[in-house]
Amino acid sequence: MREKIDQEIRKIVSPGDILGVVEEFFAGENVYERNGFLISSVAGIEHVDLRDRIVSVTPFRELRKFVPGAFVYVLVTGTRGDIATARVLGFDLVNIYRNNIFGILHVSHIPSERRLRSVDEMIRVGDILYVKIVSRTQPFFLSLRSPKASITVSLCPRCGSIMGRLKEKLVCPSCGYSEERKPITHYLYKYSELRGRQR
Amino acid sequence: MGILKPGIKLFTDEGLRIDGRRPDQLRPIKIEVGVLKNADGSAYVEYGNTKILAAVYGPRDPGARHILLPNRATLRCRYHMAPFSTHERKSPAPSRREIELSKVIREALEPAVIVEAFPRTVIDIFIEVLNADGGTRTAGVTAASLALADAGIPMRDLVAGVAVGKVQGILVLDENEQEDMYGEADLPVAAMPTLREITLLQLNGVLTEEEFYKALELAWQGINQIYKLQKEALKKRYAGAEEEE
Repeated sequence: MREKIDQEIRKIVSPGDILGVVEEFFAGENVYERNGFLISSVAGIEHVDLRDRIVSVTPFRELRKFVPGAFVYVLVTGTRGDIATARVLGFDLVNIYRNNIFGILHVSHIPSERRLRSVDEMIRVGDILYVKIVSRTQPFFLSLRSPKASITVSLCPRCGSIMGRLKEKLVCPSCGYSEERKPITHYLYKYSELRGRQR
Repeated sequence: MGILKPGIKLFTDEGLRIDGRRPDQLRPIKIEVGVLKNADGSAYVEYGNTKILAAVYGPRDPGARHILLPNRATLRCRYHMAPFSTHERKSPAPSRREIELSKVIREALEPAVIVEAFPRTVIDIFIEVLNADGGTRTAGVTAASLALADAGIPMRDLVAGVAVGKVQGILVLDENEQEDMYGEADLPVAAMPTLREITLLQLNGVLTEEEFYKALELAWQGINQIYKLQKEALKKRYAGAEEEE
């Protein structure tokens, strides 16, 4: 019986298609309500969840939006006490947003095994981070507390070169300065590659 | 509206139009979606000999900050007639008419697009008239609305457009260039059929009140037919995608 209720109805819909009425279902993703009718707002596949009574549409073309849960690249522009300010660069490092979209990273959103007194201990001005958006409006609150989130590029505080990842540390290929930073799971440059380029 | 030249006959003795249509009949319509690879969304529409290509880019970063709005996306529209689209070569520079039509089409599409979903971004719509034979603005609206849907931009409804004219005292649906040139009135209409909302309504020439309402009714008939074709074209474009899933 339970399996029967869980079934989903799937069909292609286009913007403006009436999918149901508010007495029957709740409006899910890409569905809006108008005069009691639930209407699709995108071209996609209709999903009717008969258990939770939600009708939604999975679009054929997913647009990337600055919404909670989205991952973006940011450039750290300032650090002060327990807060770092950052400029959102975009969803990738190729199509960089030129207009200023700001984000704030609080120290509580930086994962660490020990207690951090300030963001300076892990984040530095000039770092490029891959972070999760956790708020709806600007300035966006950002978080590094996700397996996908990471410091992606960092500059050496001593000589300004791009540091490379060597196991759990970031090491400067020019001056040899090293430091332990976290999280660097998706750091872009390997130490060996940078060292090889210098030779 | 032109004054009918002596000798020009726009109706046959059987009451058919010069291209053999009945007064309430649309021209043959061809719609294709997703015709341009580089655009985020695109569509090609033919209303008889009127041929339109529309492309949509965005929502994207515009570069110029003064265009941005803090609470919604900005819609930019460019309607352009290709130099080879008319009988005599048209200068490729934007004319006053094209600038006005760009604004009119943008305002016809704006109520349909859920611009609030993309603050501080811009959505660019490019409409290129490849061949002009009357009804280019309404065909442009139809094509642009499909291109927007193809780009995945959330919309309240698709927008379909058609023009109604008055030729030798008879109301005709989807007039061609000859009828537009020598007719007494031209009423382009664009609407969102599911919501029953008109987004574009212009009147060039003179109609009585009764004629106006009849013309509007005729326009709705045409719009509903075009709307069906729009949906079919969209579904055809994505029919393969559903099978792949």
